[in-house]
Amino acid sequence: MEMEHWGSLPAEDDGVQLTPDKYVPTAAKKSKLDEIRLRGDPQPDEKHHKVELRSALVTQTIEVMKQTEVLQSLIETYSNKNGSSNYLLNPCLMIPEVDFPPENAAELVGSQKFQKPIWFTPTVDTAYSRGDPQAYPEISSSACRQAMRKVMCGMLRLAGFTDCSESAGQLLTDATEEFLRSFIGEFRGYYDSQPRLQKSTVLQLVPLERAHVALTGTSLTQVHNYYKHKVLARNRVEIGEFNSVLQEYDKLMKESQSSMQKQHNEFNGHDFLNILDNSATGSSQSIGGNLAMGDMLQDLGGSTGSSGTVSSQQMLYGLLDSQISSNTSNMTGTSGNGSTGGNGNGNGATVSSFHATFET
Amino acid sequence: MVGSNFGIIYHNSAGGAGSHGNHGSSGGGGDRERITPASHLSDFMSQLEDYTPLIPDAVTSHYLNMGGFQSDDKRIVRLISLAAQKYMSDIIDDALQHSKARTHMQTTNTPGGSKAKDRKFTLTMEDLQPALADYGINVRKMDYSQ
Repeated sequence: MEMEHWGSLPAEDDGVQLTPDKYVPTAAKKSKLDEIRLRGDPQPDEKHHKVELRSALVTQTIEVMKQTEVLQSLIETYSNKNGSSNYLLNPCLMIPEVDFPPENAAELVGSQKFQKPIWFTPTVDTAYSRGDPQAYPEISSSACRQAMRKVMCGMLRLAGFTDCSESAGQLLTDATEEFLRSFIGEFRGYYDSQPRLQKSTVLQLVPLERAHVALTGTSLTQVHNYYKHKVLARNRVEIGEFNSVLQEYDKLMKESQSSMQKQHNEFNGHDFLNILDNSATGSSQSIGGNLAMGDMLQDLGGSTGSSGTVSSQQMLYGLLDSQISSNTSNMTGTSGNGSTGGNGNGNGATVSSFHATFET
Repeated sequence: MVGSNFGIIYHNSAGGAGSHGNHGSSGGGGDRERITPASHLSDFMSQLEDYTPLIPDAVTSHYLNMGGFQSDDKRIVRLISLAAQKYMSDIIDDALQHSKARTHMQTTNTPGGSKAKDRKFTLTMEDLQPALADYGINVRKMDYSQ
């Protein structure tokens, strides 16, 4: 008995045979396959896209805040506040110069667009205002979270926070992601409730506004108020504060420079050395130092000339030989200048203070 | 709607002030209360070109794609980014107020407290949690976490 198989093909070929133009013969396929093999195995395409956080206004605000902090710390280090003005703590100490490029505090918000109300600002025909389509690169969720984390750090710094705990930063990133998901979910929910929008993927404005009102209770137009009052105004306030602190620091620096110049003009170390040789008399630069020397000698019982010059070398040597220690707190190590240092020890406070000026 | 004014049609009427109430919106419905903000929104949207949000457009586009949208309209993408930025900025400001209040209480309790200029504000969970709760985001943390 002939067995019948359930999957057997009919013996007779009743179907229409395939014509040569409907199939590719194996011989022709072989050459194509060889060509592909020569090309090599297909490698996966690696697309790298850099997600840039570009907000010139916020970056500038944060940089200006940092510069202001640096200047304020310098002012607190080198000066003391008395009432509404600062005065130098040590006029002999030179205040370091700071050099901030003027572009750092340049006005980025000079456009009238932000000064006038929206309704009075004429629209400009650009690709943006027309809404020309723009494709965005696809990025992974982890890259999104990393970018969001940096954004949150920037916003924290802008608000005034200086540090942030790890868990708080993580939580803030999660909260942002949650808001975006909820917002877009609400947006999609409106589409799903409308029969003709159920399959639509095109972004529309009115459903977005409704979703925002449903989620936050405020209109999307509040975004304009936020940008104007929080971001722009903050930028201007920080730049203004930086400029005022910089002016204050410049004033202190000039004061320090002028006091250093004045001290340099009042005393000349070369003339001081010439006093011992009794030769420095007419130099106008040494008059101040000799006056001080003469006063000290007068206090010590010596006599000086009318112009303040030292009267005699013997008296001076006598004073140098004696162990006068009127103000031992001013006698620091003055042995750096050899013989002068040795003589300085005998002259007590005056020489040591002059010596300190030498070393400076 | 790409390349159009979001389907918002301005009718030329005799009274200029009354034109705002005669718009047709793509949302449908005779919702007069919704029609007025739509015209403001369309004007507002065209001004957003200079409002650079901190959140990159690619990130917002990612979330839109996950929600089933085709994110090729830069205006709406930017508007969503700004809305998210505003929302988080409000939360951060509230957290800063909590931090300042807590720091002020600590300063008044300790004699010879720090100067106002030296005060540094650190965002911690103590400040962030109540701020988030005010905005509807409830956070529960484990006992072992800080």
